[in-house]
Amino acid sequence: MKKRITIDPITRLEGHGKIEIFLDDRGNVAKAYFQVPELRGFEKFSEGRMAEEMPRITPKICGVCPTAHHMASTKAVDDLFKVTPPRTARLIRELVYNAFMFEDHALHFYFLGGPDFVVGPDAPKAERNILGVIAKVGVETGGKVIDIRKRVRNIITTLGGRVIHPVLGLPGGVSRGLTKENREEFTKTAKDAVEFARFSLDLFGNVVLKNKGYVDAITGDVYKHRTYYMGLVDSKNKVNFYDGDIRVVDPNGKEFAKFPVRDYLKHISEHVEPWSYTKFPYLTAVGWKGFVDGEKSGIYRVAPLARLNASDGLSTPKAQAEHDRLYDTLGGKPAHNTLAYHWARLVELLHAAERMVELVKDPDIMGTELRTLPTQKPSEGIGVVEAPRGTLIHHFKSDERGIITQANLIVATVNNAPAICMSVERAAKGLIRNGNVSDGLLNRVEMAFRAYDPCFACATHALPGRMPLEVEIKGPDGTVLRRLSQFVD
Amino acid sequence: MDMKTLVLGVGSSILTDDAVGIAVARALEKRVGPRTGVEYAVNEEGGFTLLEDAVGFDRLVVVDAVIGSEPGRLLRLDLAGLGPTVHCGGPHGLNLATVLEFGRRQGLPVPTEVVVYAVEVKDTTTFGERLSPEVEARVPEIAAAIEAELFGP
Repeated sequence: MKKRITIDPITRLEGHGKIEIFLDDRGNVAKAYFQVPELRGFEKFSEGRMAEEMPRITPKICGVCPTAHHMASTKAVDDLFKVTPPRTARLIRELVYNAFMFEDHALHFYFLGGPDFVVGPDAPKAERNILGVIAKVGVETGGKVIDIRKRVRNIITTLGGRVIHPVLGLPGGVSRGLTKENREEFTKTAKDAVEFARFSLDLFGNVVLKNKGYVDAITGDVYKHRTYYMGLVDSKNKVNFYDGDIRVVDPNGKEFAKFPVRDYLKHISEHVEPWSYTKFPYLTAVGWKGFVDGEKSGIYRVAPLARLNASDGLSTPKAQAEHDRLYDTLGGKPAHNTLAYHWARLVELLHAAERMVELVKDPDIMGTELRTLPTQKPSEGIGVVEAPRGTLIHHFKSDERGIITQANLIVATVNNAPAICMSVERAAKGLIRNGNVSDGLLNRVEMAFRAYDPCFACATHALPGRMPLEVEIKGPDGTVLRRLSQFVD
Repeated sequence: MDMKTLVLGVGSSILTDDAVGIAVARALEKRVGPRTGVEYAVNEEGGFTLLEDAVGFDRLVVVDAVIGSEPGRLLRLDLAGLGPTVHCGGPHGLNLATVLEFGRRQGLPVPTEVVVYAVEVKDTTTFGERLSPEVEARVPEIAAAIEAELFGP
């Protein structure tokens, strides 16, 4: 039966996060697409601005990851002005950055991953939200989330001004240092953050890993892709969110490439599809073979599980132990199970907390040398960080006065776009049969992309807090058989 | 004692019309002037931070952009009309109603009265610090309309 669900016109969001599923004559999935919106005109918007302004402008691109944009821009202007920050400044930046990774990962697990795993993928949709999570894990846990998030965000606001408009990063350093009182407070916060992360991993162990159905979903083939993986690593090939070389491993876990961010254009190319504005990045040396996985396809993945896969582990002991537990459970490294992104996110949550403890403990963080003043003519700068959603690159060129002449961003979700398309199609094909499309099935299709925590929030807020996502199911002739969005109850 | 009201402009200030909520909140503040019990704020993050901003107020007035067919048209919605978020894909997928309900269940002093003003807009995907002309032109009358509703005789 052909049924079309229409949406109240005021909530229609054309061109935003959209899944399109095409069915064949027998009602089976022929093709499925996932589209992310394109923001236009960043280049033009940036031209003529002072380069040092970029770290204060780019955080406004996205309310979800302002600190990631702030830090990527800050590092790009370091490079543009040819300055290396003093050790104290670097430590402060890294502290703020890990604080950000922590609060973002915590939010994702409890509010976004939690509904799928803690409440359950087949629970009634009215319960698949944070309210359902709290109903299951208790109000006390909700209180813990609120408290730790508030205190960790306080590290960012203390050092960066406001979270959304941070003014911490300057070319060659930071705008302020830590007081003794800050350090005492942050030490306590960081230690409590470690406890909170452990609590969250225990919760995951008890609620998810002890439930056979969830474990089967995580380890099953529907959400599995053998792809390349990318992430920043330090000199020992350990995960580092703030700095390092970009390392790529192949589907067998063997190092495929390792390069400084300035060489990114040599390693990454972009494929264009007629149906999407999104450009699909792939590894140049492997080539574009379509939306397929395997060693011969240049599709790579980024973000939590990819970062763990692309590294030789984590530099902090507790997170390393959790890293080992994850790979033992999943049958070795690399792990290709998309739904294990949620688990990897919690391992990173713990790592971020442990790093905060280390950083705040480092005597040099109390140093007074906060900036290296630029003395050379500015020209071109590239900065990279690991955003919660993957590798994020800012690339600026300027004239000799430091006025921006060219700007380019490669945002984290875009790196994952080819894999997200592939995951959505795989899930749709595995779950939709003979025209049988239930809400539960659609949620399982959505779970495929939700694991990546894709971010289109930088596009529009629409009604407060509503994610612009739409699912369209089309027949062979292109007619819309069914259209669903999160706004339809 | 007057009840405490927060007027919250929501949006990104560098994505053209997405900033309309912020522009209207500022215009309203200018029109109304200082008034006991009324505060103004801007939220460019959305999601969970909406709860953090709203805690401690009795009344929350949100002004935001919404994609629509008639740029500049003002819509007034209440919380019931927003409904709970049933799916969510990113941190912004947290609906205002959901985060406030979460706050209430956590025992936080969340507003008991919530009004959402949604201004229909045209372009929220082009970088720019100015509203589209047709949206910008409507800002004063929108602010006046909201003033009349909120603080009218």
